[in-house]
Amino acid sequence: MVETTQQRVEQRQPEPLGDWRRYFSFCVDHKVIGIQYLVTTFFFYLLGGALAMVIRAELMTPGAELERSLYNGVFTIHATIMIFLWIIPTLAGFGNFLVPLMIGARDMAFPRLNALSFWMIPPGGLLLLSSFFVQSGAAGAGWTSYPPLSTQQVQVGDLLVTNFGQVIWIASVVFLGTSSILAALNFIVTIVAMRTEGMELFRMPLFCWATLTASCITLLGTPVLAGAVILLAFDLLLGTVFFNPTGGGDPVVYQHMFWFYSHPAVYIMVLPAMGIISEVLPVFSRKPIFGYKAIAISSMGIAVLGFLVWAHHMFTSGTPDWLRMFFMVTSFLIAVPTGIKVFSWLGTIWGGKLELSSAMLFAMGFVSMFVVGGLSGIMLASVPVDIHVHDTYFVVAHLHYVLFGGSVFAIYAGLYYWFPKMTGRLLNETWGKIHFALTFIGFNLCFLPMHQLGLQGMPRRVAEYAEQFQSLNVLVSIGGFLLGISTLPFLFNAIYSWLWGPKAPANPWRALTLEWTTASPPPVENFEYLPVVTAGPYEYGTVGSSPEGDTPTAISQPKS
Amino acid sequence: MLHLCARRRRAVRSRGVTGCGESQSCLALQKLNDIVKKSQKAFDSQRVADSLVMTQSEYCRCLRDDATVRIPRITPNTSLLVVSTVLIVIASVWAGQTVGWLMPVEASKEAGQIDGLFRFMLIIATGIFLGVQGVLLYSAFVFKRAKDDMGDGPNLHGNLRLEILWTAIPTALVLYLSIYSFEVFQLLGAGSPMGGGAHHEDSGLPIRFQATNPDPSAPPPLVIGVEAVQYAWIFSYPGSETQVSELHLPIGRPVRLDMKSNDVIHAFWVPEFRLKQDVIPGRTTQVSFTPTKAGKYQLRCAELCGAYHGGMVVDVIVEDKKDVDAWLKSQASLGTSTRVAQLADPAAAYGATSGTAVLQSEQTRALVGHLRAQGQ
Repeated sequence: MVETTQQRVEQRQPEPLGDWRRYFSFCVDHKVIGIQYLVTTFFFYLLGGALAMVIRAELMTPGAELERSLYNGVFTIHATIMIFLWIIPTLAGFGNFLVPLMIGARDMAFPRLNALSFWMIPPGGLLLLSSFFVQSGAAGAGWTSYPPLSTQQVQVGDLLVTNFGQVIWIASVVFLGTSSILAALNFIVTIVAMRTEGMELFRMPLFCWATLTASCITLLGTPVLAGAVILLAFDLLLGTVFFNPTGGGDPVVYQHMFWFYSHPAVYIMVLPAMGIISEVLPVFSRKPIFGYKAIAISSMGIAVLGFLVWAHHMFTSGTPDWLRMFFMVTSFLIAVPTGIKVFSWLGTIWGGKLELSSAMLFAMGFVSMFVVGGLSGIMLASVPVDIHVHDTYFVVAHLHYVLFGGSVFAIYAGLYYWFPKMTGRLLNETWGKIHFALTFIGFNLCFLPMHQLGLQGMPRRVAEYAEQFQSLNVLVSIGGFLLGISTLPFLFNAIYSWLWGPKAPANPWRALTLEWTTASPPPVENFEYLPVVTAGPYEYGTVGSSPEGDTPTAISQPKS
Repeated sequence: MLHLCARRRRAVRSRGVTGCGESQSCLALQKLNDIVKKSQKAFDSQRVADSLVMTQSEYCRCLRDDATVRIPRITPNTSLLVVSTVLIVIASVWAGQTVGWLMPVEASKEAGQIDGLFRFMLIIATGIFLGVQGVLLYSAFVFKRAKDDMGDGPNLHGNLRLEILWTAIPTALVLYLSIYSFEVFQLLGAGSPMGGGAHHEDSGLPIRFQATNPDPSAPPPLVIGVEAVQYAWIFSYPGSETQVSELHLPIGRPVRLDMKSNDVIHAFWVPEFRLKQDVIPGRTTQVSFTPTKAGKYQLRCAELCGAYHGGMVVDVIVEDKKDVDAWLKSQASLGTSTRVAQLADPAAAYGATSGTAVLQSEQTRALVGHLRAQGQ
């Protein structure tokens, strides 16, 4: 797999801040930045989760307990945090830590830009949260922020005031979007230009393929979102009428611009997650990934098709019939490359020697739950069915199966898998399995009944609902609270293990990708000798592919 | 490591390629034996480990050349496969019958078509779901490694036939679903290709053909004007000056709703009719259907429209034509304020206490203001 050159990597002097303090500095080391991303976004994940608990508490009863406009603010900010401050940046965090290591590079292509793109996230996030404290209240038009609702003035007492919560939301989204564009640019250049000798494109680990593809989507899509919300800001603040029908504008144009980004954004959130799964499954199955090229190319297929399906979010928005048919067919077709991936993962574990570690359980949980989201997605692609279930809890169930059962399960799988590499410490496996069990049960209890709620007639984004839906909603809320509690074992495990866990060897999982050939945690310049790659990343089952614990295949341990 | 090598050697031998000393795999095997001997002597030595790696990639290359050594077959047990397939099919078809309790009653002609399509997709989805979960669970139990087994699984990189199969079948399936959905969509009243749920009033596009499957014997559709305001629905019936806040529809007669909004986007949705259409400011959107089942349903706003979005609910009553007429007449004799007072107050109906007064006043204010503007 890997050989070394005799070319020794000159190790930089350790940074002046060699200890924990560098994590709070404008450090340009991609590994530090990766961990900064992961920890910061996990903090926002907890905040977004707390908002979800508020939503589920509100929906325990058919009446509205919270003030209604506050409730709308809560679910709007919940979604915005989970998308723009948790899933997208946390996957960028994995990319930051892993991509240079996986392709044998010493850092990202633009280290300072990299640090900048991270340091845009905390202010962007705090800005968003601050909107709860302005007079108009937080943005309450849903994370989609459709005009004219989002540009309407807000009633506070007897006064009508400009919706400054919405203005803050726009500023924050533009800020976070910019950070995401910068990160994507950096990934693309790094992957294209900085691969080590022998690391051909088709020898890259699939996580790199996924990051490359997702970065292309970010680069093409995010500017359109920025355009949409900036025009929205003009309507709000300057009195333009881009989306205002009374002045000749058209609110549906916003929907087109918004979804042109926001549907591909789903793949920005899912493709790198799929990349994580493609890393974890082979290692713990002790088998090569099944259909490497099919998985790599299907990512590209998803990315291209992903830009041609956006109007399936608008089947009831007065979209012309022929357009609805077009987008229906493309949306159906995107199931094909997705299916290829799922079947390939099943082919990977079939006949392997499965080690059911926490990472593996989460990865298998991903396959299991993502399939549910995929299947309900096919139903939603069909115009006649979508006309019934659009904007109902069926959609809420679908998107959480894709983004929680999919992305978040994969993120957990990745955290359990790479934690030893990142921190040099091993996580506790027993607590990991408890965490998995709680998450899996809580997740299904929370989101499975939502399918029925939606089919039966409960719209999404409501604070009050008909009494017939109460029993299912109580069940959903119990699942939601369980899901909230399930985070605690992980938090405890991660904090405890990071500080006092057993020291991790360089390659605790006997994996074959490059990041495991260097020490845990890796030295400043990643490798002591520059690696040369001679074969693909998943050659399990060939002689010598099964490095014993601490003996990496070929590269000697850095002595420093 | 040694264990693995020995196992591999056995595996290779059992396929009868040892001993000829000529084939590439045999050469590789001899090399392998050498490595094993060396590593028995000094396994810890980095030099040997390095040589192991160097030869390993050569060995892989040899393996790839020789199909007999390359892939141990992993075919599933045939009888198990057959039995599980049959069980999955039975379970999927059963799942298709659950549509009855997943969906509300079918109260329009269109609902049956949509439920049929949904049922078909539910059957397919259940089959795929059970198949995937089955493989995952089976693997978790059957392929779970023994605790001390540090060996690898087979070096299997793919199977072209299988991959073509699982690309082709889903493609065919989704194309079939496209055609099926298209047919159902046409029955819903998708007529002219440029039509749609909406048209710009001044765009010059033809107004979409409204009737479901133009049937000469069918009565002409009853066209009702709908105006959505935050947070109420206002209906105007043909031949009546009165605007009402409840929707009464005659059984069996096609209905077309011409919907407008002056503030934000709302959406018309009666789950029992299975139809939804956004009401968008600046244009008129339409929805056509034929109610077929008498009863009292609810029209729920399905597009977030502000603080009281969840309360934007009114009753839809499907009844005999003469009852509809009688109701219309009784409404016409009532004054505006009485009709407004009749307005359903969802917050009160759902037992909310804190917000009730606000909702009543705000909703009423909106409606009264609107009716005044209409000069009533």
